[in-house]
Amino acid sequence: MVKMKQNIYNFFLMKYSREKIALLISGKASFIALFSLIIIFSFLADKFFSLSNLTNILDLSAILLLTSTAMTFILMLGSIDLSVEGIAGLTGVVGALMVKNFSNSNDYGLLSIIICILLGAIFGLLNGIIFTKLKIPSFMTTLGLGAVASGVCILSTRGYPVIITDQTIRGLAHIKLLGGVIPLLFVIAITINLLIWFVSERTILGRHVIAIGGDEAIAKDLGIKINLVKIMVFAISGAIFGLAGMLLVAKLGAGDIRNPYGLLFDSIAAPLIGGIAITGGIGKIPHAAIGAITLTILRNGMVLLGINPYIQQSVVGTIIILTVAITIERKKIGVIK
Amino acid sequence: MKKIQFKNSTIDLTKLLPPVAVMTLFTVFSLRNPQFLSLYNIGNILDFANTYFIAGIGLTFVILLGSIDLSIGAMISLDTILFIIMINAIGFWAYPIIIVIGIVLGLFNGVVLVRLKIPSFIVTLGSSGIFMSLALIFSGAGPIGLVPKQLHTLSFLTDRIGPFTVNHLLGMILFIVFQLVQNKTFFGKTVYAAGNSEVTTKLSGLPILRTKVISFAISGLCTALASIIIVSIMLSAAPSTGPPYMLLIIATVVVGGTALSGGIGGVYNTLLGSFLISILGNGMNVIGIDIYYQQIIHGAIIIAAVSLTLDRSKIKIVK
Repeated sequence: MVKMKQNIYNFFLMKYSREKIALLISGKASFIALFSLIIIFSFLADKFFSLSNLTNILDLSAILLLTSTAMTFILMLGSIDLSVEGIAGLTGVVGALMVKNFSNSNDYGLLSIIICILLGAIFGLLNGIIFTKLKIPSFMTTLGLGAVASGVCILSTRGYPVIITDQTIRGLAHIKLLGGVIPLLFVIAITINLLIWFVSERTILGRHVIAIGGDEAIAKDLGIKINLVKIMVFAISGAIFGLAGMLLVAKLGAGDIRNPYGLLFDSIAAPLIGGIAITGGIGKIPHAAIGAITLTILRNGMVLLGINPYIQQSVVGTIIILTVAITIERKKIGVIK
Repeated sequence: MKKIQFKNSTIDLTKLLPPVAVMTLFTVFSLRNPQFLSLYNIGNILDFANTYFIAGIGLTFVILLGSIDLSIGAMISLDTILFIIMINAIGFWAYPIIIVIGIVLGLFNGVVLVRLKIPSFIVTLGSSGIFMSLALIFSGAGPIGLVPKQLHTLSFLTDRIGPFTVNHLLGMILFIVFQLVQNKTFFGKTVYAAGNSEVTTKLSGLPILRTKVISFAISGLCTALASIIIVSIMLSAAPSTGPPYMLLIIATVVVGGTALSGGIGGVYNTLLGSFLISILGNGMNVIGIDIYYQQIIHGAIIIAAVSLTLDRSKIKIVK
């Protein structure tokens, strides 16, 4: 409370400047962006503020929420993971081959989800091990392994989609809780988001992640097992990517390399919109959820308003630049590269 | 890293590895299939290497600073589309105009980076969305072909003398020019200094902001030149032209031995990287590796190449 008074006091004392805006909304910018978007679209598009559209938005944001949660965990280390599309594509196809489908006679049901999570975790583990042991930047490691994963995926079905007929898996995407308002996919996604939040706030692993993101050299001097932490974070994130791949199959009804197309851009953009610094160490996991929902609402609202689809991409691009320009905490980051 | 001890000199093993990697790949492929060495195929490899190299030069300076430019893919789409529209309309005048447009796009990235003080990753991620939109709007989301009566404005670029074309001459000139810019000019020295330690460079009073803007402008310029070459080979352009190049060009720069953390590497490394990537892509086709396996091998070799070529003795923290 005292801090808030201090903030307000400082706000009126200073002249108009970028610092002033940043001070006023520090830590709250992503909420403000989300609510102002909701208000703007509610006024402009009459279909926007309805229960069916709420369900629609939650449903659309579920997968993005999952992947951006995992991406945030990695961004907080100061690393990046470009293998989202590869891992999600591969686990999707493998998962689709495990359940009832048109291509073979397997029927493992819900067990396939566990296999997908394990497969994702294995690729995440590989990412982490190659990244830390061979000391290759995560950007290149995950780029390479992402290509390997999508290569294995294309190889496994020769590029053809696997259409699934398993009703339990398909049902996952259709179940709506609370009288048909909240989709089950969204509940799964938000649960995992909160779980990772708990890990990042309340466990040793999570605190170490933030320490490494803040200053790796100091974290090393303090005796944190940096390599172990990094490998574990990549494995956890890989597992979540694997789950996302299978849930995409449940949603779309087929396992295909093209399922997660475009997911990489969005899963990096969502944490950034939520206020997570790409240099690491700053931000909280729920901000990823806010970013994912903001991005989905932005896309949904632009469709409802009938904005030219060619321009929509540049609106998203501009908004990424603007939100980061407002929310970034320059003092904490130091050198901006 | 390991050093070979000679009488009076030390040779850094990591400096030797990129050319050794290129030579090894070249030998392996030519032993497996003699057609790999045919004049036509060599020309083919040079065509690809040339495109990657020219687009990679600008990115090299950006990466040497420790920044990154993710908008190259979208810039290639926009540049190729604008170039082909202008060639269809006004012929030869398209060349100077597209170069200016390229520089302006690069300057946009640089100025936003410096003025708004946000990381280059985010600036260029955002601006790639803007450039892609423009590409879609100008092209109407479809491919645009060259008008036959304007064929002479482009065809001289791909006239072959042996395996070489005018395009390759442009690549060689750019290599010499930017090698000089990198090693002999104040700008080049500042880029290396800022890449190694931005804080120290700032305290020394060097113009970091100007250097960053110029680096991004060079990136825009080189992307425009690469777009000219892409159009001269394909004789058409579409919004989907650029994005596949994006990660390949980053890989070109990094595989050659330029570190993403900045300060290590250079234009020469990008040249080697462009040969490595293009020989790999072409060679796997020539020796008949199943297309379904190619992507797996491609990913694995990129990781292997970076692990060999990157001089990690100078990098303390790998992120």
